[in-house]
Amino acid sequence: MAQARTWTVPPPEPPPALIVGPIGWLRRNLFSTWGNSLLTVISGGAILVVGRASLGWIFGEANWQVVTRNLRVLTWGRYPASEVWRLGLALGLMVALGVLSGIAWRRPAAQLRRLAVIGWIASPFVLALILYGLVLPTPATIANNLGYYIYRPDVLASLGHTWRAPLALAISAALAGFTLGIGVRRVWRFLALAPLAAVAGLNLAQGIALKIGLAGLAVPSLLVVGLIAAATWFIGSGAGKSNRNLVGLRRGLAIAWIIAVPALLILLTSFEVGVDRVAPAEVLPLVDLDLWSGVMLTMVLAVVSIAASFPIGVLLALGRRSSLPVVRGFSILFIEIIRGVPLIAILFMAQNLLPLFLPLQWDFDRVVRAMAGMIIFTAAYLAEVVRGGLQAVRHEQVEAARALGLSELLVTGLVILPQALRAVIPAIMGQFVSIFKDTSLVSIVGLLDLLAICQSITKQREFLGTVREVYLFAAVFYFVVSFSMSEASRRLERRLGVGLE
Amino acid sequence: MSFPPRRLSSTAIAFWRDLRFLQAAAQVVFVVLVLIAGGWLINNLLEALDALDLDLSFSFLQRTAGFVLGEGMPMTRTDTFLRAFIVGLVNSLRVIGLGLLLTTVLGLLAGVALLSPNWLLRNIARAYVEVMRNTPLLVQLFFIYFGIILKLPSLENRIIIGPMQLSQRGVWLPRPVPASGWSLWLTVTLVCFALAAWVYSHRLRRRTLQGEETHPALWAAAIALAVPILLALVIPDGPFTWESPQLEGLRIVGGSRMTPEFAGILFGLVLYTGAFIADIVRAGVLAVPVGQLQAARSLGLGEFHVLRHVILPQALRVIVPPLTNQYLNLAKNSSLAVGVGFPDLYSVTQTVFNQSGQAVQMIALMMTTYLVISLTISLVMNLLNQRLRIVER
Repeated sequence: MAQARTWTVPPPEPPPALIVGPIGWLRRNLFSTWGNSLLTVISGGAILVVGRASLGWIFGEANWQVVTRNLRVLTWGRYPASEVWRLGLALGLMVALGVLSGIAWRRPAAQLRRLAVIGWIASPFVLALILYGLVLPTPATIANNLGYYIYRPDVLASLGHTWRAPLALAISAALAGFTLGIGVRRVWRFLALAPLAAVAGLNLAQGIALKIGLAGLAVPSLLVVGLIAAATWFIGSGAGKSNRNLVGLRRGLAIAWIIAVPALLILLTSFEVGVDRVAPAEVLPLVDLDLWSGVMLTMVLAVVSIAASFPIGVLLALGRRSSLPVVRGFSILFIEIIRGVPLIAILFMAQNLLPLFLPLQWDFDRVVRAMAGMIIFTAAYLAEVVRGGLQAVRHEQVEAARALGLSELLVTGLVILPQALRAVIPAIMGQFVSIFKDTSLVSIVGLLDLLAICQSITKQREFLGTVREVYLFAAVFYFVVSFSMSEASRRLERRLGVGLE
Repeated sequence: MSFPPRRLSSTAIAFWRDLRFLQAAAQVVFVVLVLIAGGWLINNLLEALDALDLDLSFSFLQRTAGFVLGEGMPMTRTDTFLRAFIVGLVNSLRVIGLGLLLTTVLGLLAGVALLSPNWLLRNIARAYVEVMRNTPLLVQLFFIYFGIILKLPSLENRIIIGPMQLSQRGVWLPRPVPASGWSLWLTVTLVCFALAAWVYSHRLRRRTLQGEETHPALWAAAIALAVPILLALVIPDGPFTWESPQLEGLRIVGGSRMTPEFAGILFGLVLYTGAFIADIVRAGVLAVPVGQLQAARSLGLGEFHVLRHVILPQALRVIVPPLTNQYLNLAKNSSLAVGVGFPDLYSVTQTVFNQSGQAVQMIALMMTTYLVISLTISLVMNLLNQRLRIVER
């Protein structure tokens, strides 16, 4: 029997210094083979030469005063200096909203989340008010214009404002009819009828005046208004039958009234008759859209294009997968034509062709036209991205949702879209980055975005020949924003674990 | 217990609940709405055209343009708008064609660099890709054109790199001029290539059918290359002589010139699109499962065969669809040439519109042309894609 021998395991020797540590890293990554070493030497030499020259230029020859002295023009452009605080306020609101959303989505905070959603929905209107300004009718204008409605309705026709009164009548009639229809208490009934009566009374002359209707018949406007009221009353009484609906309906109705009353007031009173005597009250002075420029215009264009093109893109994607051949064909045609031509061609079209296709009196600003072009273009690209997501939704999900008895609208809204959009978040963010970069093209059609301002700065007499500095500054700005957008998208992707493939 | 049999559809469904009716009705409503909107738009257009005293005919294209374009096919002041448009179109096609070629090469090289085991090279390529992808093309174009090309030295102090001469007035390269032996060389080369193609297919068939190693590629290369080289020793005249650019007074004579505008838009497009293609190439190669590579190596295939027969066919299948998109983008982005003053399709359209005021026709013409270019590129790429598809048994 062999005696049990004990073996002592010798302690492991440290790995050779040439494999681990910085030297090992160098050997593995830079000098693993002869060819590799050669590549390292060549590219290292190239970096050295280019880097030295660039650094020497950046810290030595470059005249950065062209940027520092023009910083105000580059950021705000021609926006009036006295109103720049409004831009700061708008920026602050956006940042606050962003932070709020960040907090709301980090942990389950349903209340905060609702607040953030409401904030995002309201933000375009708030921002438009802040950036563009707000002019409200004064009591004097109101009195003046109402006076025209009562005593001189014949003048309105020559001013081209005849559509306002019938529209106001139709809105108030529809709301009143609906309110009465769902059955409310007596006080509310009176409140619903009062504005209708007031508006109808104001426009008695126009109401009785005969108009040529659709069928070629002469009809008084009051008849049409009566029909609208009756129809909405009928709809309201049908919708109000179930008690559960009623609560939601009443809440919606209250909101509708809150919006409608100022809308009616503005509709009826904000036009200029007898301008000399009654100037509107400037709550915030209007800033002509032509003055929007620089970084501010770039950002506004990007935000508006992103926000407005998203719903259109989703609709187009749904249309492209619709079971109705006509809708599908229309969507395909639209998407493919837009995707087949350059953005600059679309912007050119929006600047020069859009005004021709709209009534002569509608006078859109250049900025609005460019926005329209950007929105159309982006929507077509987003539609294709969203379509990819729609195709990734598993068919069983749709079938299960249908089997539960959800209507098509609910199947789309609650089952298909959330999954589809979630799957393509990275692609959508990539699209947003490319929209942001594409805003630079508006400088070609004559808008004063950051790039256009840069171009004009290089022509300043004291800074002639500072082209590289200026465009490098622009490039750095675009890079910082785009790169942080892509980085944010990557983090979102990792956290949600989304993305196709 | 038995239930009475359920009566199936004793009465027809009311038509307003019938899905077929609802769908048809929805489509009719949609068409009517589109027609109303379209009619309204066209009515507005006609009114506007009336007010501006314009019409919708294309006859204005025959009118005298009264301007000349900076480059491209020869053109005089008395030529028509149509001629100007065609010159612009050819200029655009030149940029697109050359751009597609160069950007593919650059994208491929940068893509390979992104995959390189060399840390330094890989990160240089990554920095290039990130910078290009995250700044607008137009800014890059302005930087390249105004900041680099126009800042090059004047003609007298031009930079000479090998055969290339750089100055702010353009880039010059030597131009091949056919020499006396040109036709003889052309015939010999053509014959050699035809012969090589025939030998290749012949030997390849023999290898496939009989299994013996016949080295088809080696033979073909030998015939296509070796024969002309041998001939060069016999025939005294070369196929062409190189005409190199010479400075004569204040201008350069000879050689082929690339104008600063053309160089600007071309290099800008190539650098920009190349970055996107590099990332596509990288993703495509990484998409090939590593097991495929290991399996191929364990079969004893050499590096070249692994690349040629295992990685490339699988990677290309992933690469081609996004590559098509990048090609289309390059074609569409060529319209940014207007930013550096190169008279391309878009720029000419703008000029003709400014001269004639015919917005509708010019925009329709331009959009159609771009659509045709885009469709041609996607058609070609789709054919390629189909050839690369896995043939399933």
